[in-house]
Amino acid sequence: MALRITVDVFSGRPNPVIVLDDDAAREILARTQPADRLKRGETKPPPESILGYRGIVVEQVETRPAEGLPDRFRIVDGKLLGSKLAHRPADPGLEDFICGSTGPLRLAQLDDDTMAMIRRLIEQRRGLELKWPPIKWPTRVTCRCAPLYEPDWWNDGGQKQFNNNCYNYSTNHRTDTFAQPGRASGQMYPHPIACSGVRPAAIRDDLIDSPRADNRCPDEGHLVALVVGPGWDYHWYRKGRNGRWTHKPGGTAVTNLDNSGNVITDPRTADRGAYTDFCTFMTVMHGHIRLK
Amino acid sequence: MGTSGSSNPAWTAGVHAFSGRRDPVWPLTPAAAARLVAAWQALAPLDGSPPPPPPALGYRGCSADDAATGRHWSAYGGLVTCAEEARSDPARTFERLVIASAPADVLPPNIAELAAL
Repeated sequence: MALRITVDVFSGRPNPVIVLDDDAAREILARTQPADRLKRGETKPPPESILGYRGIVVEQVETRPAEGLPDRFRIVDGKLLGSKLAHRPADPGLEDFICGSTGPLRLAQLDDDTMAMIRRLIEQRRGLELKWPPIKWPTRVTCRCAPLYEPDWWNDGGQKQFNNNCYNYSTNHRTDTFAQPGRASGQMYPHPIACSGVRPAAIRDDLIDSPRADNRCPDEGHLVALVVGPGWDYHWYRKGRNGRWTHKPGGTAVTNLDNSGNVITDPRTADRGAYTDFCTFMTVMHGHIRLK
Repeated sequence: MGTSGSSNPAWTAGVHAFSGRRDPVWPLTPAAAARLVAAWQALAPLDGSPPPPPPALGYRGCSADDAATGRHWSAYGGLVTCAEEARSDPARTFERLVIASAPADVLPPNIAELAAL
């Protein structure tokens, strides 16, 4: 019987690892025996991508796993977490025992300061748990081909910001000309401004009309949305990598908020002020479009 | 419709409302400029909190510029500013005068509705 125990605490240095066998392993397993099952709100695994103490990983090696314990599990915040395991350990002070001055971690031959630091981090970690907001992990890239949201690049308070409009921003194409749909093809949209005029003008610039996109990202390129204030102006949004939409109203700053101050999950339902007509979704294939 | 103006006019005015198209700017006649200056001088200093800022999309106010002196006025929602000075304009007189000074067809016909005037 052997146990490999890793204290998951460092970022740059390798985590300290000790291997226990025979009596030492049996003692840890006895203290680790699952006791009370965790309550519903306690079973969520803690975030692992943090700096500092992240728990103690126990692996049962060279033997069949002890009954009631998977071959690999984590001890953190006084909980046992693993496959089909969400319990309190028989010894509620298990982490303190392992990392204590007489505990098995001394076999890792860490210096006194490091040992003391690990014990402090274990204590701090207990206090932190309740204050943390839930973290979705892993982070999902919803639209892998969409441009980065980098408002500071556009919001320079000068040339880029004032001479590039919603059409430039949505297509991620800087021209410094306040680009107009259709102008590069020699035929701009007609007046009065309406979806029926702006949409074909954008198609002439080689945007791809995608009316059935239904707020879903294309496999290639990125999604934009055209809206119109009938008779006076049009506006564009673009869908970002996280699936949310951002926009640049004229020569003003890029923003990820609508007119009510909410993040934009769907331009069809966002507060668009006087841009009342939703025209269509379109796809921008990077490098294919012409803007002027 | 669109940006219009003569070469280097002394006074210009503009409305900030567009996204796809450029915001329109037009030259002001001396009489219109004098009306704006008079309106500004009649306003009391801002007392209390400024009105909420404009939304990101849509009408964001109007402005006037005197190229000779470098003075620039901005007006939105009952607040008019010039340099560091802020004055209260609850009747939105300054904005109404700027919009009224626009040549025909420069502003959309529904500008009063857009500006909630």
